[in-house]
Amino acid sequence: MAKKIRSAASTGEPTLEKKHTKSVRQRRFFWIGFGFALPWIIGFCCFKIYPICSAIYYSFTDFNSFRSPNWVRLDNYTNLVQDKYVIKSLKNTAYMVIIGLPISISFAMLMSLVMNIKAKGMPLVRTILYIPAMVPSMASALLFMWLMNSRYGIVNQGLKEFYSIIPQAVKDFLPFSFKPPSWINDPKWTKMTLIIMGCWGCGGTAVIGLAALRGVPTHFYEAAELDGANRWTRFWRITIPLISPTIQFQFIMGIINMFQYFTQAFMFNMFTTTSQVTGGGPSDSLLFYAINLYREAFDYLHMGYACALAMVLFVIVMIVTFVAMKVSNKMVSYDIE
Amino acid sequence: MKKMKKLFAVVLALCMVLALAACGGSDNPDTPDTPNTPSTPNTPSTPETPNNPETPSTPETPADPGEVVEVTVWHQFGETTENGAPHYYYTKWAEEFNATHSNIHVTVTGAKSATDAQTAIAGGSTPDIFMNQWNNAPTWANEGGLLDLTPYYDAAPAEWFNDFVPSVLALCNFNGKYYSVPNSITTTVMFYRDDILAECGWDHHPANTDELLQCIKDCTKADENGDIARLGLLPNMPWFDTVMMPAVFNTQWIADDGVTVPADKEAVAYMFEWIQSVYKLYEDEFGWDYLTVQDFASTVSGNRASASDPVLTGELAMRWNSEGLAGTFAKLVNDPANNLSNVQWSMGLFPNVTGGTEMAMLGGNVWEVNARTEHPDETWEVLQSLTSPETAVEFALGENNNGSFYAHKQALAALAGDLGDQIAAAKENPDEGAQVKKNLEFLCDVFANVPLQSFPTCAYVNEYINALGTYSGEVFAGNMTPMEAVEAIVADIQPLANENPYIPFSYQAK
Repeated sequence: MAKKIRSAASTGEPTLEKKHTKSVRQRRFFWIGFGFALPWIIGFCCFKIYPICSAIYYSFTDFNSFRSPNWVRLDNYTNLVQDKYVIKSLKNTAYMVIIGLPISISFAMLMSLVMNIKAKGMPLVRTILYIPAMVPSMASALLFMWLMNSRYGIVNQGLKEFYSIIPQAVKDFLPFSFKPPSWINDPKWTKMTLIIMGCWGCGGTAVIGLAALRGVPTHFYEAAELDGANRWTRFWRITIPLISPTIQFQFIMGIINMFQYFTQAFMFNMFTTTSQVTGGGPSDSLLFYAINLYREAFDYLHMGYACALAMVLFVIVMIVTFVAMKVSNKMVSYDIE
Repeated sequence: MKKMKKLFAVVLALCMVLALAACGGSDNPDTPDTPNTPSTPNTPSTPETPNNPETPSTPETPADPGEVVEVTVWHQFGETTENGAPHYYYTKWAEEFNATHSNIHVTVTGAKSATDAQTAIAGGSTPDIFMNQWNNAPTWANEGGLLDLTPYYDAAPAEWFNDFVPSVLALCNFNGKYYSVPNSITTTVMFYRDDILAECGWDHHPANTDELLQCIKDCTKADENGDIARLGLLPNMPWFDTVMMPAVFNTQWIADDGVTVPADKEAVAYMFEWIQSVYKLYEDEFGWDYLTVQDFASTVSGNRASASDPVLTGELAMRWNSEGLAGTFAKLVNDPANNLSNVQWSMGLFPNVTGGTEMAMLGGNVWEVNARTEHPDETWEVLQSLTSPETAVEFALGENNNGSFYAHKQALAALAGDLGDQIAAAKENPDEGAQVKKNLEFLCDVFANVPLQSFPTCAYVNEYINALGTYSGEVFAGNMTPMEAVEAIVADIQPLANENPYIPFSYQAK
């Protein structure tokens, strides 16, 4: 009998007996599993699938929150191409992705390296470095409004102090006279202020980096040390390649987050704009894509247009993420052995 | 296995359909998303069809005899009832209303922003009545979110309608129809440090914009390092460039034809130029560029309404601010702990352009009714009680018994008279009491007798305000000439104005 079953299995024809036993168990497990997953599936349908489908539909309408939407075909999308605020907001957002993201990831990696140092009191240092990540975005924005205040802020006070200790002979050779930046009011510096704020709160990213650093097998370093590699070489030849999947992950997540940059800029704009309408900061330098989308949806009640903006953002993020994945895949090493 | 997959797919699809249906919103499948039409109020005359022609109307749901209709009221203030906070007055009024009305039950909820109301209305039928900023009203009305209250206004008693300060009703009117009812009102006045002005040779407040510019120059002072020790005036004042400027410079944002924006480009360019001239004065006379002044502004703005307020510390000789600061100043200056006894301050209207007429700006919040309210008649009954002259007089005592301004003549008269005396007498410090009384008299006079101007309640009000703020900022920063800014504003706004002609409000007492 056993021989018969084996031969049937080898031909790909399961016996009736075997099929019946397996399917009953499978079904039972399936329905039990499905039952457990059902609350999540319902939530997923209600709060993810439905809003996404609605947004796609509304992006082709003149929906305004109050009145039944009318079908306007591609009007929202054609208007969007001509909208100067969309172009402006895309430029500002691109700045954060291209300039801000590499800075904040580099800073986070630096923090991970510091956290990875085996020294006395490191748990305390790790805690201190991680604490800013727990501060809500709104609170940190308010805090930075004061820290970066150009007259009394601690940052500019520090810069002034630093400048004052430079010997006059050196100052005479400098090709510029030092003036601390106007972090909050100067359109040239506002985005940099947000980037610095982002670096301050990147403890979460640093902890992931720390986990990756801890995952690098020590025998690689030992072998390299025996071969005479110095610290710098070990870092570039061993550490970076082996944590590259983590860096790639952070980079991809960072791209997605930067394209949706909102809360901190919204808070800054509240304080730098005197109007009741959602502003874009000094000279619209903080008018990010998500801020513009919010303004269209909630200040101007152009909900259909805002949905079209969201769809375009989705496509942009998808394309950029795809390209970034393709490009970075060539640089990422998964070969740990 | 294939059958199971099919079954799974069907169950999943069913879940999605159920989810979609659950999130669908409207209870009435025949008329989704259609606002209600008020029934004929208690009046012999039949009101005109009030709704926007684009929105089909549906009859209200009549309340069954004996049924208690639930009416929800949302306001934007916190839900604290301590020290006579607004929520205290609203809940007290609701309790009294519920006690005297067996057919209606009112529920008051606080801390509900305009966005909360918008989201709630889009998703269902609550709230019935909600508080909103005046500048949202035209947009929301234009988009069909608000119930047209014109028939109710028409049917309302004369003593209710005529008691409103006339210009306040302009905030509630959109293209000839009423969509809101006034609640509290606010204006913005100049706060002068009289002792500083006197020290700089000014024994009177500047009478016109030319004098003001000179006064700013005289009162501005640099410290030993050449940094700002005191500014005459901060030129970037909220609502100054958008609302107050036309009042000061005798022009308007929309021409009488209801389409051309602005009425006079040259006049608007001149307004921008005037503010720019203040920045230029600081740069030419003291070497402080636009950013330096802005940095100073962002530093001192964090200390507003405290003992470190820049006007009280002397960092500003004068400031344009909402009138609410007056009560705070009276308290702070007369509190010995603050050591501000040498501070002499007073209020005044913003000086006009030479030869102009005296005006003040007007703002405030309003009550609106959800277009989808199920019981518009009962909701109006509630709203009329909430905005009655008698209620306004009660509310006028205000937070911390400091007085609060409501859009009713009776409430203003009370504040300027007996109620004001009562508020002043309740102050522990007689000097503070005298100051409060003086302030209330001045401000009540402004609200009741000075022509009050607000931004036109057009369908594109938020876009217009944003464009003005953006481009005027570019002028002050020196990135655009005033006329370039005006042209940019026109390029942004004129297409919207062409699509949405504006009908100016004209007041007629009953």
